[in-house]
Amino acid sequence: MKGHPLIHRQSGNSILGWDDHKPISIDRFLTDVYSLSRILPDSPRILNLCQNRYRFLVGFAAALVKKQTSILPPNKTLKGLQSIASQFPEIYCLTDNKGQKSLGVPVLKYPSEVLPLGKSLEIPEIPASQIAAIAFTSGSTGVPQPHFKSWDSMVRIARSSGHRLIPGDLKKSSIIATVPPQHMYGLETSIMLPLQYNVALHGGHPFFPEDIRAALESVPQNRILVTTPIHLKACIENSVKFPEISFIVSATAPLSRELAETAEQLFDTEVFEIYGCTEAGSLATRKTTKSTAWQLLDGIHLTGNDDQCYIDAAYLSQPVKLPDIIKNSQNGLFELKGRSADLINIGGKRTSVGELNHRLNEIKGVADGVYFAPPQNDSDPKRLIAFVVARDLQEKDILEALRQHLDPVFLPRPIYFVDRLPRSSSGKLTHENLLGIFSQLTK
Amino acid sequence: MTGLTEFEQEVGQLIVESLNLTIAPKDIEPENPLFNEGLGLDSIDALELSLAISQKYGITIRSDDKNINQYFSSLRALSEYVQGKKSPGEINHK
Repeated sequence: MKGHPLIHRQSGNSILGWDDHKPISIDRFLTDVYSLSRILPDSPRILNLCQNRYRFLVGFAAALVKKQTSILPPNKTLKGLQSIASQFPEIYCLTDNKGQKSLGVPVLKYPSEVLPLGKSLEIPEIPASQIAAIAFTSGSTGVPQPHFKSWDSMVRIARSSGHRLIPGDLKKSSIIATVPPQHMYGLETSIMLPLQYNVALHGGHPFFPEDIRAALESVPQNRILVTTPIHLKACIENSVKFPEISFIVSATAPLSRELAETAEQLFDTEVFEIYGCTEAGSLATRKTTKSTAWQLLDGIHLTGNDDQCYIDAAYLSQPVKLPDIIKNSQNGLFELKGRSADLINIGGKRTSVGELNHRLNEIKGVADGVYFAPPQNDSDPKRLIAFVVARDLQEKDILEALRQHLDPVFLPRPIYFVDRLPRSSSGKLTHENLLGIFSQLTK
Repeated sequence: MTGLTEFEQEVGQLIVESLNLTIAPKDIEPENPLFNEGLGLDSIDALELSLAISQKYGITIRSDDKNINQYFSSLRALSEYVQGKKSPGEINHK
């Protein structure tokens, strides 16, 4: 297998993207990439924590040039980062954050000045089989499972999702993203689409609704907003006034039709969703207000039904089992019928009930404990709660212990202390019994 | 005993109500971090809290404001920020 160029642009489009209101040319980008690659340590793996999206991109590209793999941390808690760093002894960290806390690995600060290069700049060719990134899913024992992303798979997904979402007449669009580039969805949309699908990157990482508005206004038309249901909901509730947007892309969690309709009316635009998973990347899209069915991206095959569905594609080394319950219509269309029972997704962060209960019960002083998802009636991100038997602990002790290992979105809120859990004679906890004590406690 | 000013209690109340916390506002340590350690808030909370603040006080929160980390750092810092940014007509608001 050969390779793919680092960057693919149609002739006449020499803009890579925008940073701090200023355009960045392809030449400037290549200068930054080659110049950074010359000072990267000789190590096979890089933990690129740059917050600015353009600097992340330069770090990602310089690593590709140096045949280094970018590690995408499963969460950004200090413990989580330290745990990832300790799994890869030769790793180093690239950061643009002055206050970066020590991870126990060598740190390279993103340079403030670019070294001039005295030669013409060519777009590098990256071997197809090179491992560009490693993403993680959490296993039931709490040990993150690595998934290897070849450059070939990332390029092909970018081209097929770009082909699906970005019409040919939307020339010179810019992507503004509220998701971090270190997240698989953020990497595929806000980094790989600008590299491979002729759209411009926006260097920022807007978070609050007002940031998103300002970021959208800082680039000329056409604008594409890449976001999540949570951000979309916050923008709607804050009634921010957005400039004209060509379309919005949402992922990480299912978007309700109602929220999509409101967003389309309020921002006078169209809303699309991407379905994917860390194991296989982006897989399918839908226009939420038009269809409940998802349409697979070109070149992706879905086999099986219900909770036994497998995805295959030319760029996958083996079929990937999907973590969802699916109704497969066999014609490139499918419907999501729910998550596999053990899987939890909050704010785009995924873990398993198994891991959460494991972490809860390993706390010294916890005699018994279980996480529980209270009943909910809409797509709001709802917190998990926990029932705990622990005579000598307070809520803050348990939270403190869990925080060492879990992303804050998975901290139970609240914790209910009970004398015992409603276990059956065989020791099992049923959803029905837990629902029973939940209704009693919240009466 | 509480070391909170009246306005800090009010902002604490807003945090507890909007984020469905179980802690009593008067028990929030005013200098402790709100996020991660301390109260253990996260990015979803930040969005919800920003909405609650904008609805109650008419203040729009932006993260490219250089002090974002500073004014979300503790109840005291957040209260000072909100107090300073409230529109003049609301200064006597109780």
